Amino acid sequence: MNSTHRLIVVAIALVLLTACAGRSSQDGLNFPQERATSAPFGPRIQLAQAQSDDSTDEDDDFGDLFPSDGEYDIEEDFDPFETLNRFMFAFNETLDVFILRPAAEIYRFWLPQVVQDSVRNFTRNLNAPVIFLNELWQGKDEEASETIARFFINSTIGLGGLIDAADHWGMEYHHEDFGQTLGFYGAEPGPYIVLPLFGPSSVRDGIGLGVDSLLDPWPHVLDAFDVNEDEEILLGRRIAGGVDLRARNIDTLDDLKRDSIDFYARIRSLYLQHRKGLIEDEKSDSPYDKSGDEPASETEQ
Amino acid sequence: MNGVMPQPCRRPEWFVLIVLAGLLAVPASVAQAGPEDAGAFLDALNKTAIETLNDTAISEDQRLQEFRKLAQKSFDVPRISKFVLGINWRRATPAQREEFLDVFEDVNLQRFMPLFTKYADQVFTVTKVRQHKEKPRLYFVTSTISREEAPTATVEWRVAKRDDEYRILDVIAEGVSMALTLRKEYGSVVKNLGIDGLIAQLREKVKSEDRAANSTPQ
Repeated sequence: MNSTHRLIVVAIALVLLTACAGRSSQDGLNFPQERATSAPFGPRIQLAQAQSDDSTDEDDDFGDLFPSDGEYDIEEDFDPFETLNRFMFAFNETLDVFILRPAAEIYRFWLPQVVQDSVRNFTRNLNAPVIFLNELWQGKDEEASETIARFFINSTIGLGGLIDAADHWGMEYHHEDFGQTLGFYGAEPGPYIVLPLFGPSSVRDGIGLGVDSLLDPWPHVLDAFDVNEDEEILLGRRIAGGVDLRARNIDTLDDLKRDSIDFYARIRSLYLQHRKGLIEDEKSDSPYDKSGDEPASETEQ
Repeated sequence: MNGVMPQPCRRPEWFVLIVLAGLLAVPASVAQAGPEDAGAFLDALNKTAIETLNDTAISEDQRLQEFRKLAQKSFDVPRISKFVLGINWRRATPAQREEFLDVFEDVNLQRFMPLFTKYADQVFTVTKVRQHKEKPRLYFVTSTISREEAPTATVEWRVAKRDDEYRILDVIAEGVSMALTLRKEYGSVVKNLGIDGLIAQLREKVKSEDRAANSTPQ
């Protein structure tokens, strides 16, 4: 579920940018298809404008935005297994079209929002121990103690995790996984890989996924209590979490897919950027002045 | 009935154009100095865009035309195009560059227009403006976009100031850069289909979005 989760978070992010083109309330905004017909729509960008700043390096804005220090290749994502990955991506998409998305549609349509929220709260609460450990290993003591506090509050007052009571008291959910922990200590993502069922990942994050599942205490808990249907229960947890997440992002992913011309390459870039962003969150060697960090109150609405 | 044409919307159009001209002047007039102005520029852009696109007094074509003008003024499309094509910009012929600029502009208009029209209850707030330490022309503006039903989203804008005018270079949400994502996606398409293939795909995309928009019932 973690990997699906990541993909979906990334997807949401980009849909903010790519949002719903064509489904606007302004029906039928006709774009000129041919240059000849473009005149009524106003003058277009002239080539000369772009040619003229062909390009001195000190004038290169993007060079500052994405410094090519070798750490991050802005030309091409590292994907030596692209052929296999594309195959796996298509396989996952097929499963999605025929199974996951329809299930998510049914789930979203038939279950009341309260029930859907409970499913999410419950599966999130079960993830708390693993998140706690990863926060601890990354030295994020405050987040770790909040995660453990959330776990105890929600497991008790929140009726076994069905209600996110801690959130009402200002303790918000946050997520860390072992892939991020590895990245925190400097591990590069390595080649991009698409995992069956789990979706976009990298060698580093794939290892992280494996470690996280080993850290997960619930199989041992079920064992200790001699629960016979432990496999079914654990599978059910994954399915519930997956369907819930997919249901929350039906429109988002639809839009994202429709907006792209190479869906595979777009998802790959989104995934790698997002993971990098999550890991670099705390390293704050930003070239931007921090003095502007106070709210620019006069521009607020 | 003056015998020429029914012109019920003649006066509103005039009025709107005057108001619009005033609003378009806002970013330029506040472009003095100081990092807050990059935020004011985005605020003004947001307001103008919403007013332009939700203005029922002018025809759809006019709305689109005005929005295109506004976008050209506010986004540094030539620089973004060059970055997005990356190494392929240098490999492209002048004709291909021209074609790419042309279709890329349409793609972006289609992408950004719904942001301003889809959600009436959307509130855009600039929360932070930061200036680049070494290149003072570059700004990093943080904003939030909140709607009633959805969680508040944080969107960051990279803005450059040249000749007293601000222009957007990139939009970043959840650590994901639009320019970089498009560069990777387009790079992948060029690798498989060539530059002409990319341009053809983008043209097809613009066309199909248009059809979708036309066939979507209100």
